[in-house]
Amino acid sequence: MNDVAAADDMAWRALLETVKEVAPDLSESFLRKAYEIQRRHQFARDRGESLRLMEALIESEIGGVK
Amino acid sequence: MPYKGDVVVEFPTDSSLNVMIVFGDNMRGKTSFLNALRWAFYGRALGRHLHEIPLLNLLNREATAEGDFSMEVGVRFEAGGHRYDLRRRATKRDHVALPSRTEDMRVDCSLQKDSIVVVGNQVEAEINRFIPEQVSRFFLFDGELLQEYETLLMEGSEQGRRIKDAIEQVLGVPTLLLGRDEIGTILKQAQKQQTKDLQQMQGMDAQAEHQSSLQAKEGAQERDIEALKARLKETKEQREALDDELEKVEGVHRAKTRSTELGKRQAEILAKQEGNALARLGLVKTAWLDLIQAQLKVRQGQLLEEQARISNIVERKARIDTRVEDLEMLLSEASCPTCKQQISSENRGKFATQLANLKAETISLEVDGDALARVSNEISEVSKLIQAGVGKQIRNLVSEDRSLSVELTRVDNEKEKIDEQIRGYDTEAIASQRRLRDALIKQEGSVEQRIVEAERDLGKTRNELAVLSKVIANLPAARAKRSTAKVALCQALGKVFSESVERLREDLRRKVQQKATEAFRRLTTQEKYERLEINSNYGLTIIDENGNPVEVRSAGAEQIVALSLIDGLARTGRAAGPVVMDTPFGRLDPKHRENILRYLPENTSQLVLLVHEGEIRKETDLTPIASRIGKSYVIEEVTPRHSKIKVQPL
Repeated sequence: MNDVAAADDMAWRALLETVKEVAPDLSESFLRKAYEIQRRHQFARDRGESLRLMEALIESEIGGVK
Repeated sequence: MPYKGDVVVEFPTDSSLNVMIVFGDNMRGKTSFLNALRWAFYGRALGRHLHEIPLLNLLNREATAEGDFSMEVGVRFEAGGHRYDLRRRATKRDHVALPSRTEDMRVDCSLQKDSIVVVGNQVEAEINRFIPEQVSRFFLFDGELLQEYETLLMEGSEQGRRIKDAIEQVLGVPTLLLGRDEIGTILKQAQKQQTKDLQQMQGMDAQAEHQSSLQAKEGAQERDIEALKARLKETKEQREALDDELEKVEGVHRAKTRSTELGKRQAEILAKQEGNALARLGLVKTAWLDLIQAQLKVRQGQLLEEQARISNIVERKARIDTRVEDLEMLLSEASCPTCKQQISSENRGKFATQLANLKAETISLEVDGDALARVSNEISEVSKLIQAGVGKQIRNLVSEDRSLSVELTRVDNEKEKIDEQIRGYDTEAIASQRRLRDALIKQEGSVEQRIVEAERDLGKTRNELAVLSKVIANLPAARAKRSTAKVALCQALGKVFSESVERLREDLRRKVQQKATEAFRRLTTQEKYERLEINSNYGLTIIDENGNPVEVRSAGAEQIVALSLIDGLARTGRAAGPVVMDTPFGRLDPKHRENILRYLPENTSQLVLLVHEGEIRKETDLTPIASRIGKSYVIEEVTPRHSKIKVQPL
């Protein structure tokens, strides 16, 4: 049995096409990391871990702004 | 479950011999086999309408009668290059002597990955990596549930919505939906922090106040929506439970309705018969008149003649009297009363003669006024006695009564039979449940509408917050703050995830349509069908060679379309994996069966078919896949509550 790779590729492509239109300044690598977190946890009932990882990612993207 | 003791089944592992056939008559354990796999992976077994079967009902009856309340299913499989050994075991709790409810049982699940134990709370996550429960219906496939896919064509149906959600689980849409929701949660926190920061900055009070107010409003609206959704869920659950109850007694309700109709008909017949009896009695009183009708008519004729004779005399006399009067006046005045001319002696003589003749005639005319009155009275009395023959009316009433009696006997018998069938059922309670169910449906609709309106209002509030955030972000003082940067980033990221959802749905529908069409073209025997067309609920319409939808589809066609959808979903959402199908061929003719049997093994890594010999005849129907069958089993009855699976070479 394999991962749900095919569908995930389509989800990533949808994100890439959308970001060009609505948020072109958003970094692709940041978007990819956010997507990967959601993809890995898409079937998890407990959302705590994915929420924590998303927040950490956003904080790290903001970087040194005080 | 009909299985007892140790049952071992080996699935074929050779990719060129990837088909396993399990033959079994109805009620012998095919669906239980499917449910055993489902229970092993997810801890649940499903019955009709996808309702969970209570754990106690899964235990073998003979075993429990012998005091054995344990059940275990183990599955060894390979995935992602790893070997797994999954075991799920149910036993009664130590302090329980005789389990009577699910809580009296305990369930333990263990998973080894390459002989290393997977920690308890990671087991579910590990299973979900390869075979998520949300999509299990597409590869643990119960053919008897095929009709649920037909509901996908019905826009707005509740079951269609659930299946649509399940389909979107396969297709990765939750990745974006959950991402959007989580980013929204982080955004809300960031906005609260931003509000606090603004409150501490000079000159930003107004923005802080406005943002705080909007956040409070957003929070309240979200809570309202949550409460409404909880209420909707509760109402739906109540209504579904009632639906199940009512489905069981639907026959009773129909019978009761019929019984009531029959009761009304009984009363109508009896009332009609009573009316007829009274009418007959009335008619019988005057039936003797039928005997003298002929004589009465003769007398009536005589009296009418006499009446006419007397009337003529009266009329003639009246005319003569008037003329006599005129002549007397004429002779006495010797001039015409009209033109006043003098009358000559000659004419006077003529008039005098005329007068004398008329007076003589008057004397001869005898007018008996009393006679006329007597004749008229007698005519009236005789006329009353003349009537339409009551004999015929009485015969008609008797005939009608006979028919009514026959009908009454039939109605009585039918009602008695029905009443006997429904004796013991509380039909009033059933009627009351129906009324309650109908009220719940109305309530569901009302709450759904309120949720739509509330979500619209929430959307407006969020738009206002987004606009305000943009304004704040452009203010030099605020721009430098971390919370402002975080809000801006979350808004951008959330918008990307949110708007990607519909784009993904469109892409997925197109792809599913294409894959399902490919499968359909291989499975159908109708060459004129050109393609399948998908709707927003993933329902499929067959389009013919003229581009027109095929409106009326046979049960077999529905099954082919459903199988095409499943294959299209499988090939869109995940790479080929094992598929277990329980009685998938029920409504199909031999040609369609053959097409499916040729197609499926090429598009799955392992195919397990649970069939009965009414669907597939061993001797003839397996030819298309004979070369791919790696294992063959049969489910045999040991006792009515115990089956065994044994190898049966073909």
